[in-house]
Amino acid sequence: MLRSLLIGLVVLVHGTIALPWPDLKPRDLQYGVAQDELKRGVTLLEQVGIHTTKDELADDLLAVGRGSKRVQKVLHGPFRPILRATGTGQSWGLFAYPDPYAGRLIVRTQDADGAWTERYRAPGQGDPDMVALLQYRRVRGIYDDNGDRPKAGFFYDRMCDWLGARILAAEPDVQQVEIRFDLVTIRKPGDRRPAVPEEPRHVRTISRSDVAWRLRLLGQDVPDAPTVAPPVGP
Amino acid sequence: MMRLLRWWVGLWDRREAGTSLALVRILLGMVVLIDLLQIVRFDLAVPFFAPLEHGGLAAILDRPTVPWLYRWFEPGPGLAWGALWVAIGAAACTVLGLGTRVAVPLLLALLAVLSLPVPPADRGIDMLVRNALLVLSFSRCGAALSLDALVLRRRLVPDVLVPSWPRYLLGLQLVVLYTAAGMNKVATLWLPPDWSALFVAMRDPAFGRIDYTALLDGPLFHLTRALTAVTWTWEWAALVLPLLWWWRDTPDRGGRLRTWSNRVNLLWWYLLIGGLFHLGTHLTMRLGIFPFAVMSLYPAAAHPDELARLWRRVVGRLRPAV
Repeated sequence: MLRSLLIGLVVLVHGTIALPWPDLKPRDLQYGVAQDELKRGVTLLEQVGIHTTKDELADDLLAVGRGSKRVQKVLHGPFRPILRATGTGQSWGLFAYPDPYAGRLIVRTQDADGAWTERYRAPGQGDPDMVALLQYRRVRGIYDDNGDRPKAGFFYDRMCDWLGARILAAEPDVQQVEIRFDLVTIRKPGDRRPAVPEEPRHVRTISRSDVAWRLRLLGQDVPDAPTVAPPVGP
Repeated sequence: MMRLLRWWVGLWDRREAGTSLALVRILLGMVVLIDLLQIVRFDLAVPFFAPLEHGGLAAILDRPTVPWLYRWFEPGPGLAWGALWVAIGAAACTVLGLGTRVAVPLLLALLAVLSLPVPPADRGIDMLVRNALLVLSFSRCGAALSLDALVLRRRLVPDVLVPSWPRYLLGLQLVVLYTAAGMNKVATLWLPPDWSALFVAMRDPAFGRIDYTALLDGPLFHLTRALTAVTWTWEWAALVLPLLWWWRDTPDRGGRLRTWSNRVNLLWWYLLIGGLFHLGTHLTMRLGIFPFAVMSLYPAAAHPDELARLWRRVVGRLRPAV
């Protein structure tokens, strides 16, 4: 009896967590795909006789998002510590919002003579070791969401430092490492809009002095450069 | 009401052979093991699991709540590598079924705590893996196809019955995963008349195996649209799984639909389409362990007796050929 009651509770909690809660936050609207969806939403509503604008629709959706958060806090709040401790939960999208404004990660290195060499270009081109590393799912998770972000994610900068230091430590000839995204606008066949050239974003150029403290941990000293980690962030 | 309550209590009190759960344990353990070995291969233990000042990506020690691993042990590269290797050992023991009662919860605890330093490196599929490990922790998934069984009972498939409820929960996890994914797909790209979601996802440089620009701009575009519709429908169709299980569980009740569904094995067809879908996405896109981790739960969708029958049929067909 006790087991069946506990299982009932588990099924209820996980079942309601999995519901498609409309958790829209203002920062979600900064993405190009969100703006496209708003535009289509306004058109659809117009077709059924509901007149609204993109801004009004966004405000309404944000209000729904805030309400949704409040309800979830009441429903799931007591169980959050258990979910956090076990790293469990139910939030599944599986490409719920495929991004037509995707980012193409590109890594280049500069030699002592100043020449730049492309080392990685998504998807899958470049040095085999670099390709394997950057396409490993856990590494990809740090950067794959940054292409269309107005501001790169916090861990993106850390990843750039780490990757830059890793390359600089392994290759003494390399002077600088450049990591960037090229914003790709994916157009469907028949799309009459003019092609949009790829636009560089979140360009990070890492030299030895930038990551001296990381290089020191890897056994390489950089004279006249700070040797401790910058005191920031989570 | 009392009848329903009795049915509910009885449902979670059932017992069965342990092979379905054992298969989930083995397959899921293998996926986790291979994934953790990738971290070794790419030398990522320190960046992912050590604090910032020791070369990690996260200032884990500066957070308001420092995870237990970093409070109980001396943080640094040694702890990062040590925790990783213990997790690898626990995953190997999970696969082999060695000390399963300890290995599975230990693996869960380590995967949970190691997910905290760099949250973006922890994907949805990691949560699914931990959900499954949590259920397996309370199950007797080591009762069959394990070294534990071989040592304690001298047989790989001993004649013991284990509680069925963990298998039911893992089956429900599949239902929740697919249905929720279907429900969340409200972007217009997933809906008619657009149906370009797969096209866009495959063209995303972070996920495409190759640059599909030239390939997909032709007639194949319409194939991706058809597959988008199939994917969306198939995910929603997971809602029917509990009904299919109930029908398979109660064949004597009769009814045309029940009889037909059981005769044509609708459940197996659903899983077969799922398998093809996951293999297809694996071959065309870079999704890491996702397809394999999800498919590792598939044995939970089948009663162990059904798996045994399937096994006997396969072996029976292979034997004359041998």
